[in-house]
Amino acid sequence: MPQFWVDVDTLDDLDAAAAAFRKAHGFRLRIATKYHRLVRDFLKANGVADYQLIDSQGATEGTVKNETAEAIADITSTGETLRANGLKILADGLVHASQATLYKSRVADWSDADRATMAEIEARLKV
Amino acid sequence: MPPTASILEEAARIRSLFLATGAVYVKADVLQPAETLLDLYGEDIRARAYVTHDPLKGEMMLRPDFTVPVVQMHMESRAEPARYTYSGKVFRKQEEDPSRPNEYIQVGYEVFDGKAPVEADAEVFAKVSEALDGLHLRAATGDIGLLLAAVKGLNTIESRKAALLRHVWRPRRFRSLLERFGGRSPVPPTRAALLAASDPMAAAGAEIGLRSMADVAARIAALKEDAAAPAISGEEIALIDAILSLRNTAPNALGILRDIAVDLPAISDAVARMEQRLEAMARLGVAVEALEFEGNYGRTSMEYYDGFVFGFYAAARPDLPAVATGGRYDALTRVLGQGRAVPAVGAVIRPDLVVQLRGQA
Repeated sequence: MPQFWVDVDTLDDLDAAAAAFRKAHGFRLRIATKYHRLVRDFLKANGVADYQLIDSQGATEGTVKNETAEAIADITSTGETLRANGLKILADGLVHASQATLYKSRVADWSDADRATMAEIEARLKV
Repeated sequence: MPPTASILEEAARIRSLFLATGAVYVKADVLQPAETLLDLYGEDIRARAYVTHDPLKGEMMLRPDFTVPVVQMHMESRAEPARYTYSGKVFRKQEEDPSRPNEYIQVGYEVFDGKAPVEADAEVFAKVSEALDGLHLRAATGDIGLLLAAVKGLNTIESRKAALLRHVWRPRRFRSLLERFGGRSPVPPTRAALLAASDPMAAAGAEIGLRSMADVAARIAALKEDAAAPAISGEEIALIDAILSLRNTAPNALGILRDIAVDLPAISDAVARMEQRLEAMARLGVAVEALEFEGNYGRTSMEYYDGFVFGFYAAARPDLPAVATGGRYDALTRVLGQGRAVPAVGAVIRPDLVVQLRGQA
């Protein structure tokens, strides 16, 4: 959500802000995302109401500035893009944590060239 | 799966019982405008109802129930008192249990009668009970009106009551709000810092989006009012808990509620209504002495019941959903009637489950 929402830091705040927003603006607070089911299940489990999910398949962090959503639910690694767009992250709003995983085949026919490439990847990943 | 002949026969049998009371047989479109349902139930309904798109009408839903279209129909006709019956398929997504059907027939009965609401409650319960006679089902009853009255009667600021009323149907959030308003859970550090700041907007950053600086300022003012207000007393929270944890036969529950009303007079009217309802049910031949009453019943179902609530369950088949459910939904008529409200109570029966249970009997 926008950084200037100094009154919103937890899901509890988001729920209260959504209720007040709906009353003042006449429609449910819009959250832009492409992860509909994950976000909906998460907000339901945490008892957040009076919001609506808006579909956004790209450049989601721009939707608030463009006034097509009031807040967003998206993936981020460092939060840099979010900050650059004037947004911040809820303290207890982590829906899902994930990491990239690389698997090495134990049955593939590894040539010397493949092994050298693998060594290079390991060196760069510092593993 | 299309309904079998025996399910359709059972639906017709139940419907004829309702028609015998003078109910009007009504129909509703399968496709309903999604906007009405979304505004009513919130985004959660998407997890339960199928959404599709119409090029002219926008988002549409396969009807997840008949109540909303029947109420809309009634609010336009304005006839009163009115009784309606209907039967047809409803459509529900099943996100957890693939063995549960995602389309099944409901037979319903809805009574709009503002003159004798207690008698209408009793009538709907008795009619459903009669339709399910011989199946030896367990009836559960409750009354959301008691909890609503208790919250409205709390000795605290209006904004807290409004927040609690908004979450009556979300027990977890309701509980955490009650804990916080009662001063039992710690204030989040960021909230404490915000309230202590001389100029909370100092490092706020640029105003973007439709939620404005004024909206933020209004919420900070509300938070300050909340922080200055005394905590809801432990005695009052204990009274709410006493209502919620109530589990007894209806006559015993009534006695306990009368005792609670001595300390919480705001529920007196709701308790009196419950007493009149039990008398009306007894007049219609319902065995109220053994009727179960749960203070918490009906809070996790659809978010519109706001008075008497009930359900019929097969005790020997805990895997099956309720065979019938019903309740009072006065507030729903106010929302759909654009300010005009008509007291209403209704119930639905699932003929497929009736047939299934009969087959086992």
